[in-house]
Amino acid sequence: MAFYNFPGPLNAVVALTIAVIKATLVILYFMHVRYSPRLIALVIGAALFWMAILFALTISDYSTRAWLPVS
Amino acid sequence: MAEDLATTQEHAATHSALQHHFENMEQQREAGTLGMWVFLVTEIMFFGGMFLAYTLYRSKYPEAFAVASNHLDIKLGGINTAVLIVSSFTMAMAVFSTQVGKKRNSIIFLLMTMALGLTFLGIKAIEYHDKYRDSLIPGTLIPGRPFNPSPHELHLPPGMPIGNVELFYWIYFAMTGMHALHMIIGVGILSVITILAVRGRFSPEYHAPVEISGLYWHFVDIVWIFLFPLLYLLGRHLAGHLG
Repeated sequence: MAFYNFPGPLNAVVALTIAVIKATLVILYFMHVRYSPRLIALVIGAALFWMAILFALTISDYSTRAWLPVS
Repeated sequence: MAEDLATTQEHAATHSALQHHFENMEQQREAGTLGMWVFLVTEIMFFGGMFLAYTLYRSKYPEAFAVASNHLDIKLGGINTAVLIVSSFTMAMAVFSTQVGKKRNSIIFLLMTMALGLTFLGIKAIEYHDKYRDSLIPGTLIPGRPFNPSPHELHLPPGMPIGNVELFYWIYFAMTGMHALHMIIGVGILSVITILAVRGRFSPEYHAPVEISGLYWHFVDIVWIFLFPLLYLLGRHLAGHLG
């Protein structure tokens, strides 16, 4: 499985999808979030949202730096 | 005044572990769980910064990262992934056993969890030693043994800057090192919890410390769930092209 070559960036997508599924199962069942107050889910959701902002803004910076010539 | 005293006595009668600022055990437990999650959120942001650094540099130097990641031992990394997931399961069982009041089982599961945690750290130490042997520890972290891999050993393609490969190892050691430190802290916390469990401090009414330590342990497992594919697996398919 680990050595199977998906075309292009699909390797990363597949590997990360598996990781996300595993992490979600751990969070929902081992960490009892599924049976906890909704407030806990809200805290986790807010954290992931905040981290998405961190990633999105930083990557948008780095990936567009080459668009303009360095003056 | 008399009423206050009556409330206090009633309060104390519920459970000796109930702190005075909580209405009942359930409220106390939920507040503790929420507090732990808020702490874990700060940990998510802490590791998130390193994952972001990894993302940026991997997209900037994909070939160098593929070459460097191919040198990691996928077998040891895979075994460690299994070890940690099983340890998360035994931890969940320890929490469950405490909740249903099976003291003996909960102690056995706690000991198993710690043993698996130490197994992980042992395998990690073997991996680190392999990197030491191959002079792959970045910079001059180890005096007298700077980052100086043999190009043949790494299958380094001609013209690839060695510094970009070294960058992968900076990130590898920063992330797995911080993760290993969390594991060591986790084993320490669990040994305290185990001692308390042996002394009979936990019961179906009061098991919050076991549960909260479990949350920490599962979180450290989740970090590894992401570290393993990102550091060990991605780019492995490029090995054929770069040979």
